[in-house]
Amino acid sequence: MMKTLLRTLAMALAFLTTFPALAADASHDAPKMEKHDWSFAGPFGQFEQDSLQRGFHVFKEVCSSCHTMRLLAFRHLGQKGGPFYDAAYPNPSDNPVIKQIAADWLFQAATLNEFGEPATRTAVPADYMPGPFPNATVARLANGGALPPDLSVIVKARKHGADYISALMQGYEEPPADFTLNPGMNYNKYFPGFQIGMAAPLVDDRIAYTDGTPATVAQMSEDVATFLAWASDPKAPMRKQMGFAVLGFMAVLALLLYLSYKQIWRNVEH
Amino acid sequence: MSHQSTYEPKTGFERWLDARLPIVRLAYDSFVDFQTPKNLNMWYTFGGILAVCLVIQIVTGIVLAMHYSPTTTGAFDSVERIMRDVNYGWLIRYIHANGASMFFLAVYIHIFRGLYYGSYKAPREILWILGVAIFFLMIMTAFMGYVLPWGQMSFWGAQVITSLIGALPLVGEPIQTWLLGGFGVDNATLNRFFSLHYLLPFVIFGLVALHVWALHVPGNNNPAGVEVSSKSDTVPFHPYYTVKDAFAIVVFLMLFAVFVFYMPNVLGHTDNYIPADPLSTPAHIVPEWYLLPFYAILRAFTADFLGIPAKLLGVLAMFAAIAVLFVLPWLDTSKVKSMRYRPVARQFFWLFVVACLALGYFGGQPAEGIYLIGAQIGTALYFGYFAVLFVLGLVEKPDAIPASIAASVHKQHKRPAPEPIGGAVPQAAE
Repeated sequence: MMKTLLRTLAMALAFLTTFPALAADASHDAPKMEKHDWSFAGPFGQFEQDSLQRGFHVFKEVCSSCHTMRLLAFRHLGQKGGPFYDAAYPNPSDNPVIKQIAADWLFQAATLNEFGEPATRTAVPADYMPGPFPNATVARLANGGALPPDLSVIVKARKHGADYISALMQGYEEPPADFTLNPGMNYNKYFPGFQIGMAAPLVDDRIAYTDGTPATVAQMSEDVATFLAWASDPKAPMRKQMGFAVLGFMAVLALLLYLSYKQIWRNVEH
Repeated sequence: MSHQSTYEPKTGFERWLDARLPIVRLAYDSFVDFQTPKNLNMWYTFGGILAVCLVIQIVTGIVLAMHYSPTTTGAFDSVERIMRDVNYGWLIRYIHANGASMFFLAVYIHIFRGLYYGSYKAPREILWILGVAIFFLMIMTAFMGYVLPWGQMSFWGAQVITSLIGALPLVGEPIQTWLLGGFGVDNATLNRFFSLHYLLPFVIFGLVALHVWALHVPGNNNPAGVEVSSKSDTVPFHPYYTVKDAFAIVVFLMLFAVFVFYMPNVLGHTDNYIPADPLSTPAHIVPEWYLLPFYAILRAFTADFLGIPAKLLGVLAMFAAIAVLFVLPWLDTSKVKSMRYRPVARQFFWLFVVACLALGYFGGQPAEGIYLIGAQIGTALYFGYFAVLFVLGLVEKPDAIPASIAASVHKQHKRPAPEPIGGAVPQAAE
């Protein structure tokens, strides 16, 4: 059975690898997504804190003027594995850096003030990040009809994840001569359909990094993709760490069970 | 249980209990001194693996339900809140989401194993039918579970699958409306799917109990496909199979852990991290990987036939793909259980496996051009297998089956005949 099974698997594999090539559609010529060597990729990869901080800087100065980040609270930025985690403040809400960041945002209070008007207050670490627009309709109005997607889980919500985000930031080009671009749209070779509402968000030195890193488009793209990857899955560092303990434990257990199995069955013809 | 009980209560309390509720006796006779064929290979460990999968899904699911909000406005955010703010919520949710995939991986291996060794044949028809019923309920449960995070694929998957009911003539649309709790997939749908997603695993649990009961009456089938005839054919379940199953379960859990800890999202669809939007249809609506073969069969029908619309044909074929398994014990006319001794049928079995894998591939592709043709060929091969089994049992010449399990094992282990001394031995042709 084993031999036939292997043969079947080999046949299936051969089929799965050759068929897509045969069926490939030649008319679609989107460039191949470049696979970046992310610091956080793979089982050993971890987010680099300075890259996360620079990425947050890009997000705050550039992205957040159009995009929301609904699911991220300021306190998340200071939790373990986050951009501004400080071991001195196990409760991120106590972290002065986090308080300072939150204080830069205005938060729409849930209730009307004593004059019956909508009220705002300075955000605190417990607040979720307020978006740039009061609602989706206003966001569309301000963006030529296109709704800037929420960025909370964007890296998990796009094929190729962080590679896509980084490529998209750098994929703006002049459209080919035979391509008709709709008014108000921009040509991006990595965007499905090539027409994107968002104008090229990054230009060299659009922001000045506080740590002196040159703010090239490539650098900012990498940093912001790193930050968004963290924001999409902030528990990834803990997850990978725990995985080693779990797999190590189970490997030892499996070995012991295998030896027990061999021992118990040693006199049984089977 | 059908065999003589060998349980002897040792303490006073056990004797007292045994006279009133012989539950320890039941457990002892079922899982300790249960005589099991000694030739079961590793493919037979998937029953135990599946039991573990079910328990994992129920336990993690109960915890998730404590934090989940089954409303169209709250579902997506509550799932992400579990991922971010609930203690170890990310772990519990990733186990539950990947657990569904692992569950189906194990059940498919379990089913193929049953098909290969003829485990559906007399006297195990009821055992097999209960298994198919469990499989069907698993599909329903998984489908409704996938709707709960209320992402784009949740919503549009629910839209596509429930619209199938509407394809039934006359009664289709009223039934669809009744099932959805409205004219479209909305809050009422999400509420009832959550309720049923919580209920069905317990129904599965009950069926699993019957499945195990139905297993313990005739006892296990085995790779030789001959019934147990004497004590020399069997070993007690404990410790022989408890240790073997435990080893297999831990190895399986390691694969599970690799997904949970290192690639928790590869088996899912990226679009399901986009909140459901009834106004924007995803480019390709696809179900989870484990339902793709059935999805391919559903979409393989493109022309009306005998006045039956193509869509209805697809729906009927998809349900028939599972329904045919219920009657398989009577479709396969061969008395020989194991494919080991059916050299012709064996070739068709592997062709069937390839057809299922190919259907899975085509189910994930757009239903057009060469993909559609592939899905149609795959569908023909899928149903063809059962027709072939029917005919083959009447005409094929099986190999000689062993006299007993002990004999089959003994034969396999026989050493090659010693070389004749001094004689020239011809080299075996390579």
